[in-house]
Amino acid sequence: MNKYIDRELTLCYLGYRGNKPSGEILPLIEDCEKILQKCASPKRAFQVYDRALCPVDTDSEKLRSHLDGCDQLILFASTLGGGVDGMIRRLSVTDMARAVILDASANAFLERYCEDCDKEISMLFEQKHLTWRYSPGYDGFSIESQRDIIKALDTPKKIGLSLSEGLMLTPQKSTTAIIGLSDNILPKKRTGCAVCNMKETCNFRKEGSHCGF
Amino acid sequence: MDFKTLLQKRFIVLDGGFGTELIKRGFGADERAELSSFTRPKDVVAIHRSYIDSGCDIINANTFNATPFKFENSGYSFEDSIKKGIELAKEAADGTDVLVALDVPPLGRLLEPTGDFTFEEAYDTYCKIMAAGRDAGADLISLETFSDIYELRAAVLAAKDKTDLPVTATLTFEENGRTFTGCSAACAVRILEGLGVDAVGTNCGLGPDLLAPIVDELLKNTKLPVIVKPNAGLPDPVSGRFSIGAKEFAEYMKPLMEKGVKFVGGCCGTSPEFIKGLKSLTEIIQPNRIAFDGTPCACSGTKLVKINEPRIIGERINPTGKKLFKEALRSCDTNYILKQAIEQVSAGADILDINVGLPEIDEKAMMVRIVKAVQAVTDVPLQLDSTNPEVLEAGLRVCNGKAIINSVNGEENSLSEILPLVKKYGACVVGLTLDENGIPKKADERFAIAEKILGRALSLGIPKEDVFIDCLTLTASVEQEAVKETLKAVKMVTEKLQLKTVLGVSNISFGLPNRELINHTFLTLALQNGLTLPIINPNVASMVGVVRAYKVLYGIDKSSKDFVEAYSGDSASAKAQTAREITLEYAISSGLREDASRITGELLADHSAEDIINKRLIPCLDDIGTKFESGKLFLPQLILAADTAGVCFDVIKARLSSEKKPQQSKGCIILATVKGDIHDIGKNIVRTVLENYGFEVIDLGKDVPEEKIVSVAIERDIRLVGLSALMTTTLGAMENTIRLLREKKPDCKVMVGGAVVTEDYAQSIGADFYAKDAKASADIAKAFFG
Repeated sequence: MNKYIDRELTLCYLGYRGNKPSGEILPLIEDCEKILQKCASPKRAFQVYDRALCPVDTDSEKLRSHLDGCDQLILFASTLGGGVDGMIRRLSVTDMARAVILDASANAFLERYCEDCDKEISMLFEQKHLTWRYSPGYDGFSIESQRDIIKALDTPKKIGLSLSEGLMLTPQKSTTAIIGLSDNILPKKRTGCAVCNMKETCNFRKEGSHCGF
Repeated sequence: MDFKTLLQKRFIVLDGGFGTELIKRGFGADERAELSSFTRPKDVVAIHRSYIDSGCDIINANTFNATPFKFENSGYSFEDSIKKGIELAKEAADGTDVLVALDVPPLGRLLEPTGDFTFEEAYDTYCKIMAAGRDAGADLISLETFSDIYELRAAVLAAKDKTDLPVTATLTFEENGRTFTGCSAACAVRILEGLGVDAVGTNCGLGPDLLAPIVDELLKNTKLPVIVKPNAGLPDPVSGRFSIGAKEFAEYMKPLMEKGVKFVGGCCGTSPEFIKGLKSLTEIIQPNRIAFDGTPCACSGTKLVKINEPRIIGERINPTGKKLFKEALRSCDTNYILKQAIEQVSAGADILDINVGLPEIDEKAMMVRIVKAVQAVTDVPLQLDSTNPEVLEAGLRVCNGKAIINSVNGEENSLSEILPLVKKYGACVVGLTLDENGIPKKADERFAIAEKILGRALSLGIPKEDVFIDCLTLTASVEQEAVKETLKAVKMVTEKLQLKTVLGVSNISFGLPNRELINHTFLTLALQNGLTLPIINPNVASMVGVVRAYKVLYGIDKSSKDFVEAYSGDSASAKAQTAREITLEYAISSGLREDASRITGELLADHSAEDIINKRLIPCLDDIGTKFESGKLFLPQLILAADTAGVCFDVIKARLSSEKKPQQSKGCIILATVKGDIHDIGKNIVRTVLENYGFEVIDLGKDVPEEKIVSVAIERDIRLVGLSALMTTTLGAMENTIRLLREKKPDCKVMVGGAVVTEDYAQSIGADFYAKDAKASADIAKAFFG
């Protein structure tokens, strides 16, 4: 599991902007990486659909453009499980510095895990070309779609991932997305700030940097 | 046939997969499974019949999808669906001995603490489901495919409260032997047997090829019949086809049945052919069941503690004689109590005693609140400690695990009030050896009361291993002769009644100097006489040390593994500490908690608390804050420093409290993550920083309704409220909260922050202040309170 530990991305999420952590913080980071490996239990679920039968509304301009040329769609969900939430909750009571570091490490871990899933999926569909993961909440993809993805993939039963009343994923360290599959090479579209809903408020951008997305 | 008669059979055959059978009959991907009883009644009956023809004793009605959430906007109610589902199953079973079960699933929402669905909401929803099943005429209730034992507990309690029907319960385990929420087979069945279900086991998830270790755990940990309903192996991620055929399925099931599984059936991907295979096995197998391991134990939802060796019960969550603790209870400062919980577990407590009895508070509500909060941050079993049966029951309902009740005694009133609770919730119980006549002087009289308590417990059907006896520690300085009687009684109960014993150890030393020495000597003697559950302060190293050393010397801690792990680092860190000559500022900025605490204590000898706060702590935090703002140091360091300064504040607080001097507070602030938002890390960062600038923070938590924030603001006359939101979807709730505050508490100012909040947005919703980060929130608070 340590292949999903990514210290650089963790530091990036913590706002280090390329700086090195100081001597008193480094051991905390190492410690949180160990904790994370013990409490993370990453799981994923996905399902491929013919585009016309996909139970999620993709009929927005942004999504149409993102999925342009794709005849099949994959609904994807992943989670690190409730153990990470529990550990962050516990550390938030006694050791907020570790709680914050673990939170950032877990976000980085989830991203690396999802990238591994991307690879797994592209191996299953060797003849196809894949778009990158587009998640509910991104531009043109309603957060309401969480509900459809969770239902279609039966994630509460398959990977222990549910939705809160306010449409938030529980456990928190989780993500859902849609991936397009095409027979043809897809034009290299920009991932990054241009398509991000956070682009107006993002702290990375304010400081002239980005989150790595 | 009724369920009891059915249990006489050597094996009971259940049905197999339902969804796959519907699909075989042409059920399309665009059809709604939850409506299939209405849209395809003939197919549903035909599937049931096909299973009955294969040799089933029980069929599950087509009610697995009959939950309120799935029936939103469907034009039908889930109650209709339950009625229809049971009706169709009964139609199929007509003229046979086959029983019809109400099939009940998890509700699809994650329960607290990780989710936002409360235990009470789950219970209420299940009550409606159970009542509908009862009215529709189900023969039994089959709770299936659970991964959260907390949710399953809610379902079992609802089934028991709303019906008299037999209840079976199965969970879905992963290959690591645990469910998604971390529940092991052992914890699950201990909890479920305690709650009075009729059979327990596992379904779905894995194929029968991977189930052997889980089945062993199930059989070892319960006397109940065990159920196994596996999938037909694992599904292919692309085609969805399952990997195991009917013949192979039966081959894998055979050894499981031989070792004692009584209820057999199939789940996803299995068909009538699979069930036929199982039926023919039932005719040839002579089972030889794995024996029940009757070791006494308590457990949480995720951790089983076997009480076959000394286990430490932490005593610190108890207001008796603790001024700060009482204050925390009065002001609902849950965080203070949680720190005590985590500290004790880190120090070596195996079980935590929870006592929140204080005359001026609502003990029942507080017990519920603290039980839920403690089990959200620790995984140890809990011992619920109260003299009030209502408080105990409220705690038992929400406690996720097999708890210990502290306590019952030999008085008739106590026996008749407490023991039924022990039975209903499947808890363990501590029996105090006292009765109407007080505490007997002699050991044999205390033994007689222990015997009486055990007799009454057994007569109610409480298993012997769930009864622990407290032979009562008296104070050595007052009743010196009584010490030997206590020890003698411990030995008698241990040897003659074969029961485990509990003792509150610290009582022994009241009124004597060097209490620690007396305490740990008495503990050593008590362990030697058979004590298994010492109730102690685990933060006192020598007390935990006695237990650890005892386990080495008595060969319990094999190869001294735990002992070495606990103490091998000691000498190195001691050296490092003595070598350190450092300032308070250095300790804070480097996160050296012990040093910071020590130096603060030393400074208090010749400086006022105010001077230390204003001239040392605040300037130090300011300096770190400035460096954070200018990008010279980063968020983890800011928080580390704030956290460490918090240790200094705690030292100062404790000193002021012991000198009965008023507490220093620079102002009181409410913090909350707004309704609908369950992310609270940002809010917690702000809390840490504000508290450690000397502000009093009332942390209302996450997902907090507007009305709650307003009512606390009015009640406590709060002048500054901080609101946090992480998601764009919850910004509306932030705006509503501000509007309501303006209306009901106009003199209260509001600062807002969070990942999606901008300065412009803060202005547009009428917030008084925008805090871009935790440091900014402290600056706002400082300027506001002056």
